Amino acid sequence: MSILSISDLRVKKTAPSGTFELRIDRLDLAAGGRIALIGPSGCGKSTLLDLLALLLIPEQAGSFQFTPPAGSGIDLKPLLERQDLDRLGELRRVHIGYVLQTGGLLPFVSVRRNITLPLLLLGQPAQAEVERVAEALGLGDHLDKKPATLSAGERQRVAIARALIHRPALVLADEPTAALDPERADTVMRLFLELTAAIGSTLIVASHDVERVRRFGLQPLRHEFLPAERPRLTVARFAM
Amino acid sequence: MTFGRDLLMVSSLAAADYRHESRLSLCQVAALAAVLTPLLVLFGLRYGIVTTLREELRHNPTTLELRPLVQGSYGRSFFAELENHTGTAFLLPNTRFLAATVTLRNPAARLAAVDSELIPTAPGDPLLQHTVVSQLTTAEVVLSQTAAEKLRVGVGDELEGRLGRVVADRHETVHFPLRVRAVIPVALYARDAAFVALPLLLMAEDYREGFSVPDWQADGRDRAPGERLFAGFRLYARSIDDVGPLRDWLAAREIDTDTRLAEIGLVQRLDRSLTILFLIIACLGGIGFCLSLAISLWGNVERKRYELSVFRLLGLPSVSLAAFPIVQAGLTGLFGSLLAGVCYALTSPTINALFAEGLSANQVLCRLPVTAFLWAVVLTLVLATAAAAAAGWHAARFSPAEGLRYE
Repeated sequence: MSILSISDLRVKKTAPSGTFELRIDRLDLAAGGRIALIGPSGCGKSTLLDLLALLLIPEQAGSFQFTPPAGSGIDLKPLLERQDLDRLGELRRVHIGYVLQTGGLLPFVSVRRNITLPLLLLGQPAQAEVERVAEALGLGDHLDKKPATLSAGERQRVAIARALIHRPALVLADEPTAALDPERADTVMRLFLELTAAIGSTLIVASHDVERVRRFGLQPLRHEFLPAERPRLTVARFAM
Repeated sequence: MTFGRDLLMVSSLAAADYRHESRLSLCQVAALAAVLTPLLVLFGLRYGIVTTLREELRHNPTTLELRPLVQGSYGRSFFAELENHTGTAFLLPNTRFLAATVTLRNPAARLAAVDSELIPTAPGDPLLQHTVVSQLTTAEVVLSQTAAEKLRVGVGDELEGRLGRVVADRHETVHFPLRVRAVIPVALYARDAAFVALPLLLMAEDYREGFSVPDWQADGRDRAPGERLFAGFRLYARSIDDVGPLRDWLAAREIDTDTRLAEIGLVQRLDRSLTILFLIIACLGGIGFCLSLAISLWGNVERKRYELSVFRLLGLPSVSLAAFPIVQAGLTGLFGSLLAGVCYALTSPTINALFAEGLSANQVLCRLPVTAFLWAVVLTLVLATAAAAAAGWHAARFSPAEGLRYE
């Protein structure tokens, strides 16, 4: 069963250097799968993650269906067409966890509060679950510290904890180990995979580190640059 | 339920961020207090000046007096109607001017007699309210300070009153004893005057007009039976705002009166002018405050783009997102107005001390009622929230995908 099913989708991003267009002809992501988006910088990995996280509104979508486990399919196309950010946010709140490359932590609250936020938003009890996940990620001693006092690796682990705390069906991670040294990167990636497997989430990781992704057994998503139809236009395509 | 939970969470996060960036928050609070304090002082001055002038007028009973300029014939129904006027504080019939004099002598001293006005009084008389609270008998008198000084008498001393009349070409005089019940200060009545109970004044009028007065063993004609008419009255308004309506009421009955309306009008015009002036300055200050707060919040929202996008990433809806700058503006509004209140409390005593020479002991030039301050706090919160709503609307329109790459 597919958790995400997308067809004929196009997203455009305009920058001073030119226009970037991402195309997806057909993409079906199996529930519980472990996918890697591999490619060089600027190939659209982050754009695709934002799209799957329902943060980005595409210019065109033939179909865009999300099927949560133990639920019926939700047709996202109408929501995307009318740019209903609030309804898309509701779905993200319940079903999606997103680890940003920069961590995305709130600097003005403690690590504990950062991790707790998704559970608070769902009105679920947080205390025991936060401590359990924090212990699993080696953050037990840092719960009452502010993020600024942690190392880059610790901050990234806090971001992972926040993305997983509410047991989402879909976990997205944008270069989660990019800022870490190889040894720490392996540790964090291993923990990440173990925890997502434990909660049965579908995992999609964007990375430029082909070797590490293969080593951890993630299924790569095929990426290619298409011939540009006009100057200053870059077109990229992801496919299974 | 979800909305309330989200709002509560965003409010607590906004407060945490406000505390985290305490220096910046303090600057915003100080900037607000810098705009609000002069407005509070200005309002304090407007209120203080007008209140002082109004109190001065109110505490001077002569301001509230309406004196009939001509003598008339006023009966019971006229007095009943005037008594029922909402603006009437004190009303007493008065006799003709001619009957209203008496010659006073101090039997204990070799001094010249003093011709004094004879003025009716009763409990509640604004001129006597601080000295006499109960009705005078026909053997008692309250003297003006000038009369008491000339007669060299004080409270409790005995006096002799004397009235003269001509009946059938024959000069007659009556003497009657009076005990001084009180002396009223020159500020309240500047001429020689004897305030007496109305029955004594009526006896004096009867005597002067040649009628018999049994109490003084004075023979004469008998007064015809029927309603007694009075030539005048003593009338005091309840407040300075009632003087005008009372004058108009009397003028409508062709009774001209002498009033202090010109002075009252001056204070009322000053009140209006200062209110308008205050409103203009308050509006300009308020607009400036709103603009500066809105710009500062707008900048703050731009600066917080990343964090607000993280809120969006976590699934917070637009309304909750907009609440973030609104809550912070509310905190700035609250702390800013409290700081302005403290600054005002430190400033106003200095202003009052500077002008203390021209004021009496219980008067102050700069005074801000607590209710006015509370209104200022409420208004500040409303304006701050309104200004923040624009920034909140801006925050709700951020593209979260762009915001998350903004750091």
